[in-house]
Amino acid sequence: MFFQQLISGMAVGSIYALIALGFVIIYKATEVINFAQGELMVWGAFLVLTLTTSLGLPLWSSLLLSLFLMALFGMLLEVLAIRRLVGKHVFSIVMATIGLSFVLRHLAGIIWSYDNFPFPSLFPRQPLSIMGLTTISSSHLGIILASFALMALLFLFFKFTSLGLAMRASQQNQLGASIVGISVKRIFSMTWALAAILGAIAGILIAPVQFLNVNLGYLGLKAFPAAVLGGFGSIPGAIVGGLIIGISENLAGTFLATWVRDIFAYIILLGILMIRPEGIFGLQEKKRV
Amino acid sequence: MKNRVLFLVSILFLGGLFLQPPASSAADPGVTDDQVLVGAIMDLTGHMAFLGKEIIHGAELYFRHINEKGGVYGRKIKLLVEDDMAQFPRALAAAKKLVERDKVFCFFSTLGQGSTDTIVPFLEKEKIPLVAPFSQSSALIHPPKRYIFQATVSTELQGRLIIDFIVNHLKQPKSKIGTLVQADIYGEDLMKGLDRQAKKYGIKFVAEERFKRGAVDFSPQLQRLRSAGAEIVVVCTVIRETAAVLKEAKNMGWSVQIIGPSATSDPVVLHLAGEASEGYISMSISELLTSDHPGVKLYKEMHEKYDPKHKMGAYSQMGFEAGMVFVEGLRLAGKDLTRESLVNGLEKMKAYNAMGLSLTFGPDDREGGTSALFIKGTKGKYVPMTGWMMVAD
Repeated sequence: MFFQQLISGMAVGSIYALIALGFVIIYKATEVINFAQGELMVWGAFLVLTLTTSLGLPLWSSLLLSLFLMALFGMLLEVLAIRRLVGKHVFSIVMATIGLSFVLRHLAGIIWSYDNFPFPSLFPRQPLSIMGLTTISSSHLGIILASFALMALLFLFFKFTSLGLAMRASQQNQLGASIVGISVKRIFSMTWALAAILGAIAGILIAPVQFLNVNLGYLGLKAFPAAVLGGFGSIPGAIVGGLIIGISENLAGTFLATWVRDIFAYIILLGILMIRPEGIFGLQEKKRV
Repeated sequence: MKNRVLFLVSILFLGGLFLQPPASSAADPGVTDDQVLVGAIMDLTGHMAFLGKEIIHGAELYFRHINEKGGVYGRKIKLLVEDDMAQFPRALAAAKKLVERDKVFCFFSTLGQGSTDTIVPFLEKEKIPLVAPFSQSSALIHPPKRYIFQATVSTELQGRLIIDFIVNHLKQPKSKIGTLVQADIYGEDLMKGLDRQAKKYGIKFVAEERFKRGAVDFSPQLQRLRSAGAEIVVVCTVIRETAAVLKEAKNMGWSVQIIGPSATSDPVVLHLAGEASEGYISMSISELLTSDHPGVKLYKEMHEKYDPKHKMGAYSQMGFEAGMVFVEGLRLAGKDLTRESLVNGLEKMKAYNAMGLSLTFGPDDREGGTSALFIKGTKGKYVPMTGWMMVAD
């Protein structure tokens, strides 16, 4: 049972990691904390559903088309709602993105209704038997592998592509990057496009397990402690934080008491903020005034 | 000069306050010669949105049918629905708005035990009847409250019926039973019934698990139930959680018999769970849509007539049934419609069979229904397993 809970914890932890990654890349680029990240999950998954059921497209085409559309959607949100917030008071930014999350959630409810929808699974349904000793869910294993593959792709993207390098440069020093000829506005757009893609993938991975409905975005709030735990502003931190929270809340829920699971992420969040507020990988940033 | 004007204006104002026309005599608010205004509080956008929408859909279907025939004693029914998003404080705010601003005559259906419990003290104080709340809490009717008429089967009774079913119908009195219930009044109420009847037969549950309302991951609880050796798992869930439990059990490769209360009787549960729904047993408190009960036939006819595109289901059927009960109450109240006459009228309801469930109220009886039938998920549809059963005492 421990092993099964470990795997399912890693699966949900991978989802938290993907959402936290979305938070972190936006934060690193623009210092905007995007509370609407969870809603991007929901929209991405609903787009896939619409493309497969209403337009009858095959699953993989719908997935790719949905990611493309979500990237555009992310850029649209950035231009319409977020760009003016950059550099403003952090309270305004937080309020605006919280407001954005409400709008997106209820817009989704108006478009697709508030019902629950079964979502096609990318992975086979049969449980896998590990050496005849125990069985684990194929979907959980699939989520873990897909997330790790995605994170590896992201790593390669940031290290070896010119856009990735430009984004990192812009995150480190906006002024320096623009002097070197990097269009910072373009970086903002691309960052939101990337965050939207990450959110959509997270939604597509989790929707088959949890049924798709517009309130699935609340999962995004659980990813926030993950980002803080890892060090808000650290990409590896987001991944590690997500996995830690996913695994520990699952194990705590199994071996301590069921209700512990629902609050464990926030217990960890409070603990981290008290003991080491910069998170595991975070660096204490000193801003020069 | 200014003071004088101010003085005169204040006198006029105060005078105006005292010179109000006398309050309208015996007539309660919300009732006119051609209309009765009724309030409902539903979750339309929260996590029980599906239920809320369906119930109102069914009720409005019936009210439209009645209104087109001229209403009850010439009064057409107008339903005002407020959204409480499954949040209890909002339910109370909605109730106050409906009473104080919209001046409804009475309440017809509220969704959820939490929301209903929150507004009951207010309604009792204002002496406003609530007919057919969608709350199956036994605390609502024991002790009975004068203005609250529960026209369904309480979860406590359902719990007792489930144990009876396992022992007498499935004939498996020795099987190991585990429970998985929502950690709130809904789940605790079912547990009360399960415990009470289990004690009668000398059954002990091998494991008792709980989950928080809205949860979607049941693997820890199911793992523990499996380790405890459960052969039957009784769940107290609604729509999504039932489907999630069924899917999780299948993912675990565990073929266990899962049984649930009437809230899980909507075919959407089978649809969400897909293949994992095969063999799931639910309770039902209305005849299935395949039955030739006159109430079912009327529901199907009205559906076809007014909204053929909508997919029929148990919750819209229950809303329709609740509408039928309410209209019957209006009829029994008589032409002179007041809140008290509605209460007196409903108390006279004896064995009213709207959709299969026989409803009876009385001077101290607000329970309504005391029987149910069991249905089984077979190839994506529910089929009846038993006839209407009552609790073995």
